Amino acid sequence: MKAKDIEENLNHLTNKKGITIVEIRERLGLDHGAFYSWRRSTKKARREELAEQIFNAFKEDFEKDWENESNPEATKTDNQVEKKYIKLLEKNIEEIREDRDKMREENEKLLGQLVEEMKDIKAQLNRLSKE
Amino acid sequence: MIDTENLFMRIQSVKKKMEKEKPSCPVKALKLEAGIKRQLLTLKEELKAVKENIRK
Repeated sequence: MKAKDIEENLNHLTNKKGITIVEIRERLGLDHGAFYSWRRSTKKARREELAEQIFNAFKEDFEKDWENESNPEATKTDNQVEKKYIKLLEKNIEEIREDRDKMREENEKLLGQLVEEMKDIKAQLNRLSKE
Repeated sequence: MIDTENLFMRIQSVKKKMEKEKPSCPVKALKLEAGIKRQLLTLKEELKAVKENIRK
């Protein structure tokens, strides 16, 4: 597995992996100025060197994803797993919604009963106070 | 001796809580309903005790 273009590397880490540029800089031990002069260098070799360093520093964040790009079977498996768990989550959410609606209904019924009982008690207390 | 006025006020406050807008997240909404149910069941027991007191 080889490093790709510097911007592709950075896009992968920031967009797909949620890693910030600052975290990348810090792991490489570069300050802002050094990082940007390297990143924007007009010399291709220098940009490639930075791409390689980023790739090596974040190897675990590249390997699986980029392996999959060149391996459609792995991508298919990943997608199937993803679909399966998304389906399970959706099913769970549906069950939770059903439970919520059922409990809401029960609560409304129970509240209705309590309000009626409260009225009865008030009436009884009024009667008792008059007697 | 149960304070009946306080009990009635608590029933009203649960009623208001139930009329309020519910969270859109189903998990939060379910937790809220479970909390309300617990409160209602406690109130029910207290009302029962008040009724028994009156009967005596």
